[in-house]
Amino acid sequence: MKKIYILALIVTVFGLTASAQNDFTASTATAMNEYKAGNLEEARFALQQSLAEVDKEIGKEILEILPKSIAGFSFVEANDNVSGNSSSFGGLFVHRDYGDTTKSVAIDLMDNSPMLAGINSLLAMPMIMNSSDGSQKVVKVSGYKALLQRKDATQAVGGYTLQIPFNQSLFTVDFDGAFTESEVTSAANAMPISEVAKLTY
Amino acid sequence: MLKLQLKGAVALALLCFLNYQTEAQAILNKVKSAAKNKAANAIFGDNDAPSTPSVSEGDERSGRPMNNTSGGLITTPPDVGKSIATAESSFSAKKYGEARYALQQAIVGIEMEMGNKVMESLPEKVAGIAFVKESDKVTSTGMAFVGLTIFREYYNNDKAIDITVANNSSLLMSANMYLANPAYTSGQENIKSVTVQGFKGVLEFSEYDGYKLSVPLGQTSIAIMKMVNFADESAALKVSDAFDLAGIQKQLGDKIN
Repeated sequence: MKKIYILALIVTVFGLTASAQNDFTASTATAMNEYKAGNLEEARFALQQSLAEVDKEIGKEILEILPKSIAGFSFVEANDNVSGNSSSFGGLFVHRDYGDTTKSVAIDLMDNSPMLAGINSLLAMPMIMNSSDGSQKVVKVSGYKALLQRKDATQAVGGYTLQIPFNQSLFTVDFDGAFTESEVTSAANAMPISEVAKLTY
Repeated sequence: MLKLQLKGAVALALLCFLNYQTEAQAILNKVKSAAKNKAANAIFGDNDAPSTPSVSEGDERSGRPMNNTSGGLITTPPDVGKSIATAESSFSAKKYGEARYALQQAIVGIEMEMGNKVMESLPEKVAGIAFVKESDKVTSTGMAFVGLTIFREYYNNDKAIDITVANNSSLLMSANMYLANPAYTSGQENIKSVTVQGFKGVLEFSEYDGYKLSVPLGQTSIAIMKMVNFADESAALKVSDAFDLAGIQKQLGDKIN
């Protein structure tokens, strides 16, 4: 019985990999044919489809290296999500959830994000960003500058949002529930930010 | 004690030898350099005067040469076929970052071709004013929210017109927002909805910039025309008739309905 499960798993994994390869190959072949026929818009559309397939593969690799647990909470496999958006805002999108209804952590990676410019300009002005009410400040996570915001500034313990821009990506970690700042920063420092940055470069 | 003195003498001799070698090397280099210069002068017929880089008038004080001989960047768009082939091989090798870059380059190549075709279709004269060839600009980033833009301008001493055609661009959002919400246009004095060549558009006016007409062309394209020093609204709208909006839309492969 166990062998059957393993065999089914192998077939599924290989099936999915082959499917991604097939989708990519099909769309790039279409792009080439349309380009040769002078149908430039069609060729571009097909290439954007290929780009979405590549983004999905990058997203899967990112999910592979993200931690299985954060601050003692296991990840919720069913909520793992990767999408490669071939057009409009944002190319690659990766999502992972940890925790339960009382305390949770969510990781979102948005690549080619138009929000990036805003965050980067704010990080360049740490004097402005470190607010006097303690609701936000610039911190360093694994050597990267990041913007840490407390969701409710009136409480000593509460939710936090951490935004780390790199390359053309925005890596956001949302801590919801009774977390302390040190829990947030130590959890963030345990994340493979540098490896994720390499994959999105 | 004798051993120590002997070691000191050896070290001193070694230092002297190294110093001599360094000096000898420097002299040799000077001789080589002079010989090279003589040979170059003999071949190219140059005189013995040292060449001085040109210095612009404004930079004479610092003596730092201004850049006036460099050739600039190569503006040939990326080769689409080669980029697609690179993307395929990179994807097969699971080098996804490289595959993505190659695909983006291929998209840039295609968009530049699309943009150049649109540029060719634009009129060379509008309202009797010739276009400024040096200002023609096609830009593509291969990234969705920036997209493809085509810019051409026309001006004389009195009037100025420019057109920007954007495809797959965030510029489209604001015009569509106005068109989708008539309250935006009716509530403001300097902005109104108009119909041009069968396309719905937004006409804006400011005392400083003159008229600006934004016309979405289908799902992902927009044409933005600016008209400076035109007497009134109808004169400005007449200018826009010079541009074949349906033709531009067709070239960009956009659907309207």
